[in-house]
Amino acid sequence: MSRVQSIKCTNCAAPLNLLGGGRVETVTCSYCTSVLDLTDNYKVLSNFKNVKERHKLPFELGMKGKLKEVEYTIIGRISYMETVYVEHSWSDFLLFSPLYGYAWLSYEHGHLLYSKRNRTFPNLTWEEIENRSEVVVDRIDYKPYDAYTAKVTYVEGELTWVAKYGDKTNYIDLVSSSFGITVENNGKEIEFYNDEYLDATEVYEAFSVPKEKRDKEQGFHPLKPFSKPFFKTLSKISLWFMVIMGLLIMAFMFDGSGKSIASFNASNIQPVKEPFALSSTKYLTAIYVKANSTKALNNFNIKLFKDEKLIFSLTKDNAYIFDETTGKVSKRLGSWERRAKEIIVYLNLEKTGIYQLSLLPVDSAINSIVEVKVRESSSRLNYLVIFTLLLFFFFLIYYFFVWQYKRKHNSEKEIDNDESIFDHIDDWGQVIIWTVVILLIIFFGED
Amino acid sequence: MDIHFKWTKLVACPSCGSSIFLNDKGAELIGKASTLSPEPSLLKLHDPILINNKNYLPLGKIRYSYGRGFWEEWFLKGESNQEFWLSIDEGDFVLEKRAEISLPFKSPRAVRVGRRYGSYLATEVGEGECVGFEGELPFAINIGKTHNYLHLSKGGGNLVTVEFTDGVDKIFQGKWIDPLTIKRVYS
Repeated sequence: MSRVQSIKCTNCAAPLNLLGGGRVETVTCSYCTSVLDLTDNYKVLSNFKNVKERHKLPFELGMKGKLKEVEYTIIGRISYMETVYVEHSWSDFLLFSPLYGYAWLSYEHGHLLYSKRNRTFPNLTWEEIENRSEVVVDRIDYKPYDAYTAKVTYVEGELTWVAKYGDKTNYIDLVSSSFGITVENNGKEIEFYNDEYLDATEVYEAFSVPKEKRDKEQGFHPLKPFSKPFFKTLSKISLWFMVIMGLLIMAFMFDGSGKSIASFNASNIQPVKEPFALSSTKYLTAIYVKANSTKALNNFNIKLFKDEKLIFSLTKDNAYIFDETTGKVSKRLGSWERRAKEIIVYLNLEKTGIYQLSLLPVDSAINSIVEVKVRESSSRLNYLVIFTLLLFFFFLIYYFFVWQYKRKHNSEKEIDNDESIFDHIDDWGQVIIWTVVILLIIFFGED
Repeated sequence: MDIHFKWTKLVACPSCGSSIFLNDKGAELIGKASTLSPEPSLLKLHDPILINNKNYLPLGKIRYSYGRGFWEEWFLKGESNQEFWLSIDEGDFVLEKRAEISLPFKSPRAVRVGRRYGSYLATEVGEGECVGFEGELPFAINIGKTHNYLHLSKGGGNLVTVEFTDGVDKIFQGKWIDPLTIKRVYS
C-alpha cells in the first residue's frame, strides 16, 4: 500500500502520477514510453519508442470505476499479441484498490473480462495442466479450451513487474460456462487468474466512458454467456401450451372419436339417396367418401338434404352451403383436390333428425364406385395439431440457437478433451426431437 | 488499559504510545512505540469481524515494510480464545494459526521458489522490516529487525508460512481468504 505520488519522468521530465500500491515495480511514461524502475530510483529500463501499435481504447489510465463492489483505479495497461495466430490480440488494464489490491480488466475486440488472482488452484505443474481433460477448482469443473503463446506489444503506466517489448508468456485457458481460469507461465513462475465475462455497457457506465468511445463486441468469445431471453421465454411458454394442447387433443380424440350412423356404396349405374338419422350435434358430422381412383371420385356430385331441402352440395369444382329457409347459397367453399381419391367433409349440422345424402354420377358411362361413411360427433383435430406443431417450432427455435452456439464454441476450441457420451446429450436431444416431429407428421398426416 | 488476551506479552499504550512488556513479574516499560501512518484497511482494532461465519476480534497489528510498500500481520482472537494471524498485503488476505507440522526440508533458507517439496510447492520467499505495531501482541517484537518468510502452497487455497527470523522457525498454517467475504460484526 502507498499513497498517490507525482514524479517527473527521468527521461523526458513529463509529470507522472503513481496511483498504484507498493507492489508496483515499473511505470511507463505515457509521453516518451520509457519504462522506469520504481525500485531503483526511477532508472530507465527500456523504451517502447519504436512500437507502432498504440491504438486508442475506451479506457485510460486514471479512470475510476466500481467493479464487483470494489472501487478500482486503472493504473496500467499492457497489450499482447498471440505469436502464431496474430489476429488474437488483447489489452489488459491493471486495476488497483487500496483495500482489495490488484485485478485486471481485459479488453479483447470489445469483449470485457474481469480477472483476479486465483489462490485455490490445485498444485499442478504446467505439463499436468496441459494433459488434464478437466481441472476442478472451487468445486467447478474447468476444461482446457486453448493453449498459446503471446508477446508483449505495448505497455503504459504502472505494472507490478518489469515488462519489455516482445516478452513472451505461455497461456492455458480453462473454461466453465461464462467463467474461466487463465494459467500464465512466464518462464519464472506460474500464476492463475479467475476470469469472468462482463457486460460491456455496465463496465462503460461504471468507468464513465463517453458513449462515442465505447466499442461494440466483435466476433465470438468463449466466456460470453449465451443469452436469448426472448426465445427462451417463448420456448418455455410454447412448452406449457404444447402440454395443454396435447391434453386437449387426447381429450378430443377420445370424446370426439365419432359414431357411425350410415355406410353405403354408390356407383355410376346406381345413384343413391340414403337417409341417416343424426342423434347428436356435438362436434361435427363427418362424411367420408372413398373411391378406387381419382376419376371415379371426380365423377360424383354429393348433395345433402334436410326435410327434402338442399342444405349442402359438393362437386369436383365447387361446394355450397344453402340457407335452409330461403334455399339460397349462404356460403361458397372450395372443393376437393382434383387428384384426391378420398375426401372427408366435416359439417356443422345444427339440428338432429333425418338427413338424406345423395351421390349422383356426372357421367354414367364412367365406371366408378365410391364407398360412403357418415359419422356423427366427430372432432376435427387438424387446426389443433397445426397449432401444436407451430408451438413445437417456437419451442425449438431457442434450442436451435443453443445448438448453434455450442457448435461455434466447439469449433473455436483449440484443445480436444476426452469427451464422454454425456457430452453429446444435446445431439441425442436433437434426435429425440426430430423423431417426435416425424412421428407427429406420420400420425396426423394419415388423417 | 484493557488487555483482551490472556497470553498478551506486548501492549502499545493508546494514550502515550509507550510499549509495555508484560512478564511474570509485572509490566515493564520498554520504550516508545513508533506511530504507524494511518492507511485504509478493512480491519480496525477491537472491531470484531466475521470470516466464513466465524467471529474474530482484531487485537493488534505489526507492520512490515518492503521498500515501496508494506504488509500487515493482524493478531486476531478467535471464538475459543485462540490466536490467529491475518496477513494483509494489498488485497491478498491469508488467515493462519500456529501449527506443529514437520516439513520435508531441513532449512527454509535452502528452499527455492517454484520447486516442489513433498506435497508443498514453494511459491514465495520474502523479507520485510518491522516498522511498528499497534494494540497488543502475544510476543515481543524488535522494531527495525528484518523478518524472513517462506510461503508453501498445498493447493486449493491452503498455505503454510514459515517465519525464520533470528534462526527460530515458526510455522503457520491456513488459507487464502477472499476479502469480499470479510464482514464487520457491527457495520
